[in-house]
Amino acid sequence: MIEFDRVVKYYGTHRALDGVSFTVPDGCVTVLIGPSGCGKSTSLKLVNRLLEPDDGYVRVNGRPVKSFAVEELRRGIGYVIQSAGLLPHMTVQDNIGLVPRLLGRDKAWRRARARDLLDLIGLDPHAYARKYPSQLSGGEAQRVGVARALAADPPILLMDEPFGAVDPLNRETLQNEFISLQRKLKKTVIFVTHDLDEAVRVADRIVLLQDGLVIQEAAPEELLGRPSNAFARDFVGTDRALKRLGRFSVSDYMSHDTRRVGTKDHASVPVDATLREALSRILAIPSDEISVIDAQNRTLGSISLEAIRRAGCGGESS
Amino acid sequence: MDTDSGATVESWRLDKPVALAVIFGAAGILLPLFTIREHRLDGGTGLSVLSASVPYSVLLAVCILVPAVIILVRTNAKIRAGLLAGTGSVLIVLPWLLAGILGSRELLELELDLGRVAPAGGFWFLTLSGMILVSEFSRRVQGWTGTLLVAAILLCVFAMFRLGLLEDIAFIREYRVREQRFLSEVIAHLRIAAMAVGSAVLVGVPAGIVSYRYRVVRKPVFSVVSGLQTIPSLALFGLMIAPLAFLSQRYPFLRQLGIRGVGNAPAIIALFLYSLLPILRNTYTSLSVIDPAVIEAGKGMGMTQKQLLFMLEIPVALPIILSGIRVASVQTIGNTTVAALIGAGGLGNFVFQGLGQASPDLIVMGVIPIVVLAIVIDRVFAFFIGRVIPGARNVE
Repeated sequence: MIEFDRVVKYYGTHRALDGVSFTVPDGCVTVLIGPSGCGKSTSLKLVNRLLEPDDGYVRVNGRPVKSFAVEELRRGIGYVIQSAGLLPHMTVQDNIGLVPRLLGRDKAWRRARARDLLDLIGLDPHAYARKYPSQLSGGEAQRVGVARALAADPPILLMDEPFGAVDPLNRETLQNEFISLQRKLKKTVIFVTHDLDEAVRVADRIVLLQDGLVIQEAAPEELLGRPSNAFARDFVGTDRALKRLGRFSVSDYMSHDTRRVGTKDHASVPVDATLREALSRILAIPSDEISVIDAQNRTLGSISLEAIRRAGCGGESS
Repeated sequence: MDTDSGATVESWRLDKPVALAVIFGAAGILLPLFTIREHRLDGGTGLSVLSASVPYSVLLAVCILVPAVIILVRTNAKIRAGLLAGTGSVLIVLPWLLAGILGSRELLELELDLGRVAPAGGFWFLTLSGMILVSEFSRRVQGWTGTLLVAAILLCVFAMFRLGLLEDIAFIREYRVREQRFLSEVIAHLRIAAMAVGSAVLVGVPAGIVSYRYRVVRKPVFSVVSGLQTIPSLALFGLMIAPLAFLSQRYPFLRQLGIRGVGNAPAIIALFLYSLLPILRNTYTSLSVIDPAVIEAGKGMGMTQKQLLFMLEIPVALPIILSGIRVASVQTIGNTTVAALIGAGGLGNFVFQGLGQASPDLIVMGVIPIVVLAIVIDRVFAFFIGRVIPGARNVE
């Protein structure tokens, strides 16, 4: 668990963090979000002590980060940054093996680990292990950046706008890969972004910041459903109900009655899609209901506009 | 690298270097290739290749026409590079052979036992033309193909020399007279240059690192070193004499170390001061331009300051640091020539003797090995820099 306890940080006379307190539970993705200058990146860098607070405490598992030797602390925390920051003079496998190398792991171990991690992030080890960063695409470099952060198997992962420099199409792929990776690895992740859609997609919890203050600390459904003040309402936007539907899966709200599905059109929605996608598809057909299919194109049941509406209202009414 | 592959869509542009080579080559054929001199200080009579040998004239003419055609006609980039390499090599090598063989024949016919063949304008224009073509070739190919070609050309000329084909050429005559001293002067030249550049590396690289790490020292360090660069080299050599003479008078142990007002010590110090700027500047710049994200990543992964410097900053900066040392080395090989003026050894001795005796042959004899040394050192550095550029080894 990572705790921020009344943390204050100045840049010159500018108060970048004005007594920030929040907690990051173990095994979850906590997204720090807010407009530029809100203090989200500053907060992140306080955890691995790239910055030091002027007041207050940052604690990891109850222990103030100040009490760790700074290099030890950093080697125990995975760090992913926006432009990947791969060392240009090292191959992909040497980049991935860098933290283990700093920790004194031998070469054979590092090579094997690099290959495993390349597999894990979906890059063919044979093709990529010996490449140099200049030979990678932006998305590939970013994947290698994630693999590097995971190399020493740290329990904590700090991600500073990790997919910010990748084009929108690739970004979504990377987000989905990250989500399934996190399902396997269960790291304690602090993820900084300014993109609300990204936050809604990857977060277990969202901390909304503005001018160095925490505005709201909540699960994404709650932030979207009940923004705590005018700024939060503004920030999540007028389509927040729609965004919120992106958090729910079709499989949880569908009806398994296959008889009810109409046959006059062939529109359908995959079972692992979100309610937002289902709604979008229903709006495109002249029916209030759409069939739900699995990966093999088999019809599993259907989902109705009514079911989607009920799911959407759930948060607001209570 | 190759900009010519898209030639079919590009509009025609004049290939200026090759055009220049063609003009120089044409001049080389028309001008006297060499002069026949009765003795060392004779003005001599010029002889162009046209009047000396028709077949060789045709061969040279072909070597100039081919690049001319290359300019006008679009061809495959590979074929083009190959033709440049072939014609360029011939234009460099052939004048030596012609001066050696045709010159000797001429001397024999004129029954000039003490006569000599002095390369003249045509010889140098052809050489220049060939050098331009070879360097154009090197620019267009990757890896060390260019270096190999230069090595082959040098070996070819050296082989002709060893086979005794060049004995009647004036500066080879001058060389034969001084054969004993030649090698020791080459070694002296290299030693002076190596000591100067070596100490400049030992001072300049750390100074560059310190200027990068501690921004406060940057200004003073750079103004001193840039200031030194503005002193004309001849003056700097002269300025060394007085203080060093004084020091060696005052402290006898310095004299025992060989430090006097004249000789190697002032030369090495002056050359060292000259080499500092390119090395310092490249080291500083190469470190300053490292992507801050890379440095942040290094820090974030838990590198200590020392690891950051030796595992990240210096390796990333290495190609540019080495280019600075390359520039300094080539420049110092040239500048060492002047060191002979204040009593240091080296190939400059021959050059200044030649100036003193109004013997251009002797000057040329001194200058040719200096040029060869500079080319060889430049190529060696190019090779090593190519090796340390990330990815250079497995980019095809």
